[in-house]
Amino acid sequence: MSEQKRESMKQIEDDILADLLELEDQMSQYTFLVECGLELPEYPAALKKDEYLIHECQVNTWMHLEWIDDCLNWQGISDSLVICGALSLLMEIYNGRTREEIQNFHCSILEQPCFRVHFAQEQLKGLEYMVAKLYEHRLQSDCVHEQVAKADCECPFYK
Amino acid sequence: MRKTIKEKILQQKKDSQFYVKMICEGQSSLSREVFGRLFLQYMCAKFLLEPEEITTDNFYEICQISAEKAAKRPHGELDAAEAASKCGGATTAMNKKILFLLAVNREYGINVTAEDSVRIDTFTQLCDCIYQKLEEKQV
Amino acid sequence: MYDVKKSIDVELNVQLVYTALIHEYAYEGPCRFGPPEALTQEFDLMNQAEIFKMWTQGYGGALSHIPGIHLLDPLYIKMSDEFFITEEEEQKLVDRVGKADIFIFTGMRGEGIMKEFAMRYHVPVAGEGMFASTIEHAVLNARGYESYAILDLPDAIRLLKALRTRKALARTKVLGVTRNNSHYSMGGQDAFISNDMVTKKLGVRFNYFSFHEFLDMMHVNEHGKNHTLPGRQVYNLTDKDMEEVKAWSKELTDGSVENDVQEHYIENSVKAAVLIQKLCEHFGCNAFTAVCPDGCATRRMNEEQFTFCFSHSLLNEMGIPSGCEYDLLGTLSIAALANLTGKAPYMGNTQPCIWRGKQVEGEFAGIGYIEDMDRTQNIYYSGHATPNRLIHGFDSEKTAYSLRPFTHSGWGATMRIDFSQFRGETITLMRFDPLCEKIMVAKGTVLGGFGYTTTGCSEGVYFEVADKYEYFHKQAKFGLHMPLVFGDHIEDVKMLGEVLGMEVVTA
Repeated sequence: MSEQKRESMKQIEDDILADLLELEDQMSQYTFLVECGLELPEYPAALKKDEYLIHECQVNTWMHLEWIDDCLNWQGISDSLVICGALSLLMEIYNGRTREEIQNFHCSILEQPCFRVHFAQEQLKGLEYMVAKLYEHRLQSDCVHEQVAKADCECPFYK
Repeated sequence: MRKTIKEKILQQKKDSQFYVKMICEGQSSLSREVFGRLFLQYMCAKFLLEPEEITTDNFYEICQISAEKAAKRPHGELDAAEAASKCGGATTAMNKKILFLLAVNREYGINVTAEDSVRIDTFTQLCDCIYQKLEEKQV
Repeated sequence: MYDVKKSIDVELNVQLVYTALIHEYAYEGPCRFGPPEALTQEFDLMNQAEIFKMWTQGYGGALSHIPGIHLLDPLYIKMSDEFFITEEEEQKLVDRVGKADIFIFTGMRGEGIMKEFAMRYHVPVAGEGMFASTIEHAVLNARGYESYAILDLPDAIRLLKALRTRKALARTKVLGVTRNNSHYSMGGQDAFISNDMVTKKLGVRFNYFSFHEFLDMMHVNEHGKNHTLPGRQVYNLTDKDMEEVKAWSKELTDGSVENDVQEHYIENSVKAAVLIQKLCEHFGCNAFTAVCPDGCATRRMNEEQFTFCFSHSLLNEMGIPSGCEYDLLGTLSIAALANLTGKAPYMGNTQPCIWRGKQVEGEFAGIGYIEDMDRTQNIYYSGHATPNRLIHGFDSEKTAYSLRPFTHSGWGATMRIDFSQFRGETITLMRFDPLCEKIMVAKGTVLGGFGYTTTGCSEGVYFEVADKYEYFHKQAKFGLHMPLVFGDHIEDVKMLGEVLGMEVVTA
């Protein structure tokens, strides 16, 4: 059975930016972000803990990262609808991606004027922090992953 | 889902542009009544509402309905939450009203002023104002 | 019949001021953020106009429905993001100085404008809204200017009612019918230390009037013949006044549940009420008090066959504060309470009930044992033969009443209310102190009434208080008479204390 070729992270990012540019005016782009934010999956109430709160964000924003079958599962929510929109788009790029894919991807959407213009400086800082935290999480998980892999190799039961 | 959202917004833009064109091109021959019907469609396109969702003539309430639909909040809840949190006391619905009027100014080439804006309480008054401005523009 | 300029009709002129911040350019920053279209000058102009409209219609609309509050046309003061207002804009404010009793400000970053205005023109200001209230009050209060912070609409209403009461007191002029001195009487030794001081502090004026001249003027059609004012054409009652007396007496008689007073004795008492209004109109007074024991001792009241009790009842109902025993302090307490609450206060001797077993001290005053005395020690009473039918409110339905004579001989009409029907209701009592520096306010729960069927000064109400001993020892620094109204008005009186600059003692 042949696998359907999945779009790369870069392709999705470009597609999102293309959508924003196609909408042309800022009002429509803003509406687009808000509407995307409304489609965010529900964030579990049990994960609204202080350890998942993004203190760098102006408003209450939570994010939870985990790896399922070696793929990223990023959950998040914010009190700000437009931040929810940004989260929704970022999650579309990152969710379901492997460590290697994430490692090889440079997120540039936050640098694009058609995206940036809808956020205050503090809000952008919060978003940048979240992406950075994601990469930090990947690295830590990498270490854990390597350790586990190493342990597997050294474990007498696997020999 | 993202594509659906984009298409919906693009369609709304297209629809609203369609009504702007119809109104501007047919300006000289449009009766007030016909203008009102077209302008209602224009407003629905801008607010992403269906005509049957407009259950009041009160323009602020129409803006509220649109804001609440966008935020998926029950009637009345959005205003209460926002009035408390916004610095200047403006609500999302109020912002919608103003942004709508500014868009009307831009797209129809007229000038609804701040003084006009505060006198507009109902959709009927809004139509009367825009219709008059369009007539003045013709002259 | 007579045009008395009542203090309850005084209006507080309120000026709403909205400072509109119009940014000249579209930009974001630490204080400003949003989508670009919402940052333009165009947007600000419309947005600020809309907020002003909502504020004046909603907030202002609610305030305008408060009795006694008169809203001047709201002001919209434009300010750019250079944070100053032009002379033209300032003139809008200046034009209202002298017309408005208080300026209520709101609007983003308008605190500096408000502060400057209050400091330059020495007018009372209040801040409403997130920033205005706490910022401006802190800075103006520290500088000794009169300013207030408003939390919400109920808070605003409480403040405005207190300010209106202050204005009403300043417009109060008491007709004080006295026998020996203008300061105090035999029945009102617990008086103000100095009436001049009261004029200075509250603006209240006093018009002292001779008890003997008053009694002479009760004689119908005898202008120029008064012994005390020989040859002077003064204000004796006339035939026209007597028509009013007769009509009013009949109305009161017909409206009573029971009547033990003969018609001419009722008319004698009502004559005093008419004469008081006539003199108030002439002298520009709108409050009244008269001597009691001092007047009684002249024996002239026995000759004229009337007491002032009925006048006090009737005048208080009309919104003309009227106190017994030449108690000027009590009369002003009535004036304050009436204006603050919109209710006609009832003033009486206010004392704790003391009893052993079923033997109650002070039974001569009409009080006696009640069953609640087996349950609690904290019982008080307040009594004078001067109740009225509107203690629940000037707009309330009149309470049922009966008419009994004050004297054993049958003269001196008094109104009697059966307070037992109000068991369980809350009452609020208040009184100024003799230095005019403090206010005492207390709350009680009605337990019953006394004196409804008797004669003399023996009509009143029993009420339960939180702590009888605490109440008594606090009250002992204020005086005997404590006017009361129905309802809980403790917070209203506390606000009055704040605007008058007086300490409020609660019990």
